[in-house]
Amino acid sequence: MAGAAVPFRVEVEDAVLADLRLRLEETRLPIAPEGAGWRYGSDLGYMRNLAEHWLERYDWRRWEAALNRFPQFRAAVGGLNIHYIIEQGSGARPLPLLLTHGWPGSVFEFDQIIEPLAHPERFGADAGDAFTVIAPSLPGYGFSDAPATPMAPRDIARLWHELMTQVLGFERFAAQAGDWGSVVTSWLAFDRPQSLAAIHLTMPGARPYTGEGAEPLDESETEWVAAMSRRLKAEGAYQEIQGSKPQSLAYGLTDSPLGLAAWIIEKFHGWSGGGADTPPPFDPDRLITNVMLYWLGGINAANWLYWSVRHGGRFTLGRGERIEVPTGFAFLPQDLMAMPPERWTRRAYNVVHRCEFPDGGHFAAMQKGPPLIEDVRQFFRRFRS
Amino acid sequence: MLAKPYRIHVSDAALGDLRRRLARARWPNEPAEGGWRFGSELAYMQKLIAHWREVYDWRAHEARLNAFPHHTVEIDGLRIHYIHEPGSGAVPRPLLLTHGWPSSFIEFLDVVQPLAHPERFGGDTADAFDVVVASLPGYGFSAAPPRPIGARAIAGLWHKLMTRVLGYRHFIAHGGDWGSLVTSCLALDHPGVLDGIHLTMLPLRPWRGAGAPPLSEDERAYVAGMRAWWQEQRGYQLVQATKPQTLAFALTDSPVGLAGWLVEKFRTLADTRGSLERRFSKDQLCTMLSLYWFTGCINPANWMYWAAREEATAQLGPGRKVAVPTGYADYPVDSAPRPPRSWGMRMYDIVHWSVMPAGGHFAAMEEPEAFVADLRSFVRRL
Repeated sequence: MAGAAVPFRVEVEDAVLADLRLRLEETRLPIAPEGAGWRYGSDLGYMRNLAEHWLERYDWRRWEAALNRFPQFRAAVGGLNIHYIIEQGSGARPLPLLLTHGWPGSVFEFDQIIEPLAHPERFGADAGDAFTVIAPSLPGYGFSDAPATPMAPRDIARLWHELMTQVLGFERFAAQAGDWGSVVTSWLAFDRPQSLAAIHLTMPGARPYTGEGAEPLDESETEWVAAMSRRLKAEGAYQEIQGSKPQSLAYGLTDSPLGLAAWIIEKFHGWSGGGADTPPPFDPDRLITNVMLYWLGGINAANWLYWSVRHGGRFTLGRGERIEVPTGFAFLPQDLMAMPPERWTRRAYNVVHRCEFPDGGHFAAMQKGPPLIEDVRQFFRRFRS
Repeated sequence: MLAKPYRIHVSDAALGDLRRRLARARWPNEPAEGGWRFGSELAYMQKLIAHWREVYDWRAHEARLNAFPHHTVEIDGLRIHYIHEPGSGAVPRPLLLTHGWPSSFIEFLDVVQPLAHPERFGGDTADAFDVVVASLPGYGFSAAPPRPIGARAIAGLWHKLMTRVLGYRHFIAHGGDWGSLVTSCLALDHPGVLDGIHLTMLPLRPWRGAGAPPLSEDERAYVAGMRAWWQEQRGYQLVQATKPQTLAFALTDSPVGLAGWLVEKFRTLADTRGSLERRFSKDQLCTMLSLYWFTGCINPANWMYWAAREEATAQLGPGRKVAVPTGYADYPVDSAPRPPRSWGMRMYDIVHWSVMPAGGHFAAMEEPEAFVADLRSFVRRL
């Protein structure tokens, strides 16, 4: 059963920061192939500068305070203490909006969109568009408890429903997500349609049924599926290792802060339009703060999601199954996954809105906050009642 | 190409640095009752790291390594490290041994003396070899190439090492893991200098297109079985082949991370039947890990996977096959299916095929006597 919400503040002990500093100071760097850039993974020069920035200029206490400007709680749902930010929206009837992050992101991805979504009037927009924003940390991420064993996205959706309805008392709410968040949100919409006003995704978290009896794929779908499989062959190895031997990887990522940063930041580079010789298009302070949430809480259990879907959990809908909750999609062209054909998204979702941003990638809220906010406001307007 | 004697010496500072890093190990959690199903088991890792830090004596093992005659030589601008143990008797046959990943020249240390001097181990001097154990580029004391190079390029270096540096006109080559691919490339590209090759892995893939004889039922079952087994095993390989540099930071900075990445491979690929200690003492594992750690070589060692993807040497074209007489010793590896001889014959001129009852992917370390006996019996047949 759901437990009471306990206020939470991020307060990292000095000893943890001193230990981190020592590790960064004594970082042993790998060599790199000549002219490697980002072609072989995280760029050596960039990572060396990042380590220096982390040591010399990055101020965790400043970012800790930034996180603590949001009201945060931990509440027991499904036996796990789940951490979440909740920012009460302006006006009389803000629409509750559940924001779910993915891997290798965190609630910190939403740092710059929570206030505009909750208080549009402070940012030159209409208070009628206000949301009460709820951003939980996935189980095993940041300040949420790790589950005892890998937990599948559909089970997390059940926790989210409990959090929203029983802990927070919302009967009907909206949800926005990308990456794993979109998988969780899709299952939430599939299993609890009566609770969801509508959902807005930057990635189609549910795969349609394409087996026997399904409408055959048309040419654009076949091409897209083939392109995705090629892309995953070049970019998807992290999923393979995290899905099969996560523990073998966990030791290095838990013991070496720069090792952890390299594992995470390469994704912020590659899924956001970073080129072979150009850095990831993000402020290093923000990248480090996201990495800090993995450092403090440990990355291992976060990686278990990949294991869960290879061992019983699933993305794919069954025959005749579809998400009937009205769904809006915003795609970003530099994302890991290219924009799927409309026909593909309609197989799995009741699509009522689709758009593609002119640029930006996987971490929409961090990279393209203003257009994302605008699209979310517009999309949900018709579902306020 | 002037060969120089080489002596292993790790500085006291490096030893102290390692000890400090091990002492401050920061441990991950583990799924409840996770065990080895998720990768390197936490409880074993904690014991191993405690051993590495408190019990393991690098200096003693360094001395043991230095009991072998080490050399380095520059070939095509790359420093190559090798052991060269001249054999007993009047006409020892030259034998080149090549290791793979995550291994090193250390894998062969227990067989160097028996192969070179059989008479000291109750054998016959007529079986003696001049033994050469070379470290792959980027591994241990061989220098890292400026960028990843693959098995075919390495075979070219090995050819120069054996013929120009050591002056052999003919030799025999043995390899496992990447060593088996390097050895196969040697046989494909320089058949004239090889009297025979002996493998503990079949790394080449036969031509399966037009004109290839259809697979037998056994072969089909083998291919399907390998694919299924590989599904859960291939993660490390895909990371190392596509994003080696992303992984390298953690493995170069953290000895615990390095151990976590490698130890599971020894348990899965050796004939451990679920117990690492059945095959490897903690000291043995720590020596292997220490070599990777002190030389900082894990990143360039992993480059082999990148280079293999680019070089694409494993796939044979139509009509292409190794013509050098080939011996294969099939050691059981985990639950992987064992290849039918007909499969081996698609890629090699198989003249010797042994199904080994025990020992696994690191055969020379696991079952040194059986390894030596099989290699000798293959060579006698030539």
